[in-house]
Amino acid sequence: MTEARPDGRSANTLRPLSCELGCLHAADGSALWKAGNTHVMAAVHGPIAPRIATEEHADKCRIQVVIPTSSSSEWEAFLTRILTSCCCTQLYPRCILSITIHVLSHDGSILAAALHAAVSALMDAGIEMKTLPVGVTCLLSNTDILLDPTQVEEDESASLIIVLENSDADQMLACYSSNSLNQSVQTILKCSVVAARVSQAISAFWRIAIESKVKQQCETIFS
Amino acid sequence: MLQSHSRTDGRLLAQFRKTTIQQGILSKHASGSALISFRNDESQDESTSILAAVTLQVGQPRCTAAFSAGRGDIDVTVSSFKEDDSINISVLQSYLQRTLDVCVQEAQEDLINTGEQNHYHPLLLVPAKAAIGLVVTVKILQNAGNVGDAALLACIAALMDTRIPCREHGISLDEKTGRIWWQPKGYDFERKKEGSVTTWCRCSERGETQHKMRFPLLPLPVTIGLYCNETSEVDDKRRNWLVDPSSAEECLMSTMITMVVDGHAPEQILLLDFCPSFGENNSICSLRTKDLALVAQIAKARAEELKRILVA
Repeated sequence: MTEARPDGRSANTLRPLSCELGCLHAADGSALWKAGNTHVMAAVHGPIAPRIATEEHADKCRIQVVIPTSSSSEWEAFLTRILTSCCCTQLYPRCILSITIHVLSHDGSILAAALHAAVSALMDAGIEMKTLPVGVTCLLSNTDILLDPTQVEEDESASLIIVLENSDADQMLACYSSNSLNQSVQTILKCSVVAARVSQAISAFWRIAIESKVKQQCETIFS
Repeated sequence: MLQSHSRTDGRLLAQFRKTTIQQGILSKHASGSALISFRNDESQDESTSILAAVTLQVGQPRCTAAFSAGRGDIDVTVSSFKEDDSINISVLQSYLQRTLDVCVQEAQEDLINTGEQNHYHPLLLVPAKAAIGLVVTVKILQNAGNVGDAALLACIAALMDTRIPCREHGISLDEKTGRIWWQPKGYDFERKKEGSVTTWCRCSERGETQHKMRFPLLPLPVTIGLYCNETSEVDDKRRNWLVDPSSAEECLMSTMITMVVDGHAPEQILLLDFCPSFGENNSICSLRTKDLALVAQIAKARAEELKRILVA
């Protein structure tokens, strides 16, 4: 039997999600992503010409992710690579797309929340994307696989984030493990199957968030 | 598929470069050191060479849930002999720090336990007051690809070569000056109790004052590149796996996968990192379930080979 989690959720339940698009008027795109008590804000500036000419690519856009509050540059590189592969960078040659991510409240599963906030901000900025990457954090406890762990749960056991393409368990775009997993490959594959089921909920939530934003804009324009 | 194609450097797709490890290369200047080299026999000039050195510092112990009395810490610093834009030093440093912290956390002393299990970390000197910190300095001498694997192996080999002072020869802490005193060599060791633990150090049998640590967790990495060829009509030939990619091949890969397995139990995966690469290929190449199983098989075989080299 699966033990009850401290916040009363079951093993496969995500925390309540909230997404506010366009919260920063100075940015070209912005989003405030909330998953329980984890709050992350992302701001997109661009596509604009880079300040240093050597930074530009002749045939595609360069994406730069900055997380000022994070001491790990691995997270920045991880998010940069995912977003570069998912965006249609060839549509914006010789430009730079700067994404700044601020962690406002830290309660576990930060990397997944940062990814979702960045993708939401890119959608708000109108950047064309090939696919929507969905990240799910899986905690590998002794008894079960727990999804979307809090900080307290992450301190006790190892976790890994699996990024899926099109919510398909057989299309793993990226993976990052925060600590020593000490698990077999079968357990990790089981994580991807569990994550795929839940990622469909995140994709559906994105659709609701975008639809409500577009509806609100239409009402404002035609009011 | 893996055995039928060859690369620009003459290797097969599933062929690793020759790995050589030299431990104790800086024995006069560091507590532990190792020089790792991934070299292709046909081209002697091109090789990935990493030098790692471990020095000891005494400082405050880190108290955790597993070690309430405290444990030693590890700090990794990476630098390159010459500027290389293909290496992200801060990302490499963070990756090594994350991996080695796990390895050191599980380290044990080479003791004869005559009583209950010793709960103290081998780097702990005085409970809650002083511990040995391991400072690992990594120098990238030459980069011909797969620097991450070489750097981690160099650090592991250097840690295995590291000798730490034996605690059983009498340690006292002068709290006023903050100095730690070890009893001189030849001290007549007496069997003593630490709380409810009675231990007997093997150093006394050999007449030494330093010993090496044992590592129940031995992280051994393998990096594999995945190249997706969209123009191929056959589905299986669209995906090509290249183990131990060279620096020229790394630029072309669609995805880079790094899997770290436990050398003592290669079926257990300690770390799994993969993400799309900044390759010339603009297409997205995701991993499938059977791809991950294949990578695990390759990692297991590579770990067994690396363990033979390390232990030899």
